[in-house]
Amino acid sequence: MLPKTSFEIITEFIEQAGFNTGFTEVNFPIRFPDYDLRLSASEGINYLLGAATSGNKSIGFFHSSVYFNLHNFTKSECIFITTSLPENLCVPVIFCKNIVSFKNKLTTAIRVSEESRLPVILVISESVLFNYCEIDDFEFDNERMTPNINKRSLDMKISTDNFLDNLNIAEALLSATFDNKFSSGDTVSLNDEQGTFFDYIVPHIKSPQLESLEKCSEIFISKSEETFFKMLCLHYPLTVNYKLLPDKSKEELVPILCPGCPFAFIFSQIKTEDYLVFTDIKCPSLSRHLNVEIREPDFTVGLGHNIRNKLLFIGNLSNFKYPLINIAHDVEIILLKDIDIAQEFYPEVKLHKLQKAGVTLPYSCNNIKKYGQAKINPKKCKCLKKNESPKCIDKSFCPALFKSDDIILVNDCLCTGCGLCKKVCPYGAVK
Amino acid sequence: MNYCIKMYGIHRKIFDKTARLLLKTFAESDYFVQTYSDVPENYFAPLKLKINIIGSHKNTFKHIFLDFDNLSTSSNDESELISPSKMNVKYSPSGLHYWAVSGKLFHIIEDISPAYISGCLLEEKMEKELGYFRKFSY
Repeated sequence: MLPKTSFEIITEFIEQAGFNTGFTEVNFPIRFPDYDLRLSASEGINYLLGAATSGNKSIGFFHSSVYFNLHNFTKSECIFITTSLPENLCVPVIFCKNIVSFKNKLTTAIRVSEESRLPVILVISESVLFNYCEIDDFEFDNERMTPNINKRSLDMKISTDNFLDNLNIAEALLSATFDNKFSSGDTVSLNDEQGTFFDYIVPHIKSPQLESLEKCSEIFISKSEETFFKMLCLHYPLTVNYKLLPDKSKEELVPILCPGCPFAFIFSQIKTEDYLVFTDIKCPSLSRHLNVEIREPDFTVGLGHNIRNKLLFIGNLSNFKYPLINIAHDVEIILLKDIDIAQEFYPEVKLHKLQKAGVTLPYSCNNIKKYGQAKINPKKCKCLKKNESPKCIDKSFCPALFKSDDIILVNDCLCTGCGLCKKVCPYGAVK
Repeated sequence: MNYCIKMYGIHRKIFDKTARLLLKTFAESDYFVQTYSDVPENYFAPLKLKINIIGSHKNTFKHIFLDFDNLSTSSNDESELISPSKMNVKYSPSGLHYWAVSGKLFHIIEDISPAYISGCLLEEKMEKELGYFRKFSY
């Protein structure tokens, strides 16, 4: 048996556990097309909570931190899988540091959610997605600690007392499953390969693992996870003596954007150095390679009221809620059409006419289609022959273009025919 | 001997196939295998997989870098770099070079056998891929 990918493990889990409602946050690294609802993270959370309260097994995938106010107990299991550490605690949180424990953590999460009638957040490390592991089929424990229906389970409203009762049920289950403790000198980090991390935390209840952390004379934590530890110290309250580990530098690789990336196209069309550019599309490549600041549209629109620079906001049409006429003069907006429904309020305008808010590009990162196929004329392809850096690769960051001997070739499978390489080639080598 | 193998590649399908076959090969050679991955920045950014294969109690690793698509821009002297450009293998849109790079790994780690991967490629009638793999692994 060959090892399974994380995606295959999650898909099997969804099928075998019988989840019937799902949601994926836009740009979550793994795609689940059936769960792509184009809702914001907070809208997605509410959607899943509503579904679970009405008795649908619900699962959601987020790359942002998950937090919500719970008003009702759930009638069915509800699991939020996220790659971000919680910024606040509202329901039991289970952590999965490595792929080997992923299956166990998934089955525990569903059991805890079922027994406690609370949603459960499963935080997975960066190393869990896109990894491999040999696992057998999932086995779900059908024996319940609490009766399926009793008088209290029909009373779905949450009060302080019954909420604490249910948190205690979660704690009892989790402490019976996981009994790891921390020792002095441990590295406690979710994303650092070395060391160890919490198996779970339940709000308001100090687990034996948390108590062991308090007894450590010193632990080491990653700088990027310090906010989480500060939150823990305030929540319980807790005293932790920690030292910060420096963030590890990552291997430098050739920058790559998606083929047909609308941002690469926009940046080739307008003088972006004249603008402060913002987007709410949470793609780390945009900030890293194109210097785009990732912020919500509200922030950009608000900022526009008193700032010297010109502002440019690029975002998905489905996520933009402002009437364009009320936006300050120096805020220009490009909306990417990520939904198929006709948007009559925003006529499609050619990009070079961008002088005021209201341009809509006919596609977004979510629905890039294949428009054609770039072809290179080897006689005209001169950058490499002249020992110059190839402009088509440098300016488009396109993975479909690659160097082969002294010319550039196109990978037909990846090329979308967006024409950006043709636009930036100084020798007219691209057809 | 312990090895730390870092694999980077943008052809996700072929990367996936190579990774699975290599992991199976290491596990069957009685190595203890640990894997670590990284979340790619976007849907087309390179996949990254780090495989620690542990055969001895010593806490020292030989570092090997499988750069399937000539993606690395930094030079790490500690790692033995295997990439198409270093091996003078032509970059192929269909990802044949992945099999050449994978094959070369069997030259460095001598106590693992390429037979499992050869057998799989033969069974799936991937003759071109098998040709590239054999050329560099035997």
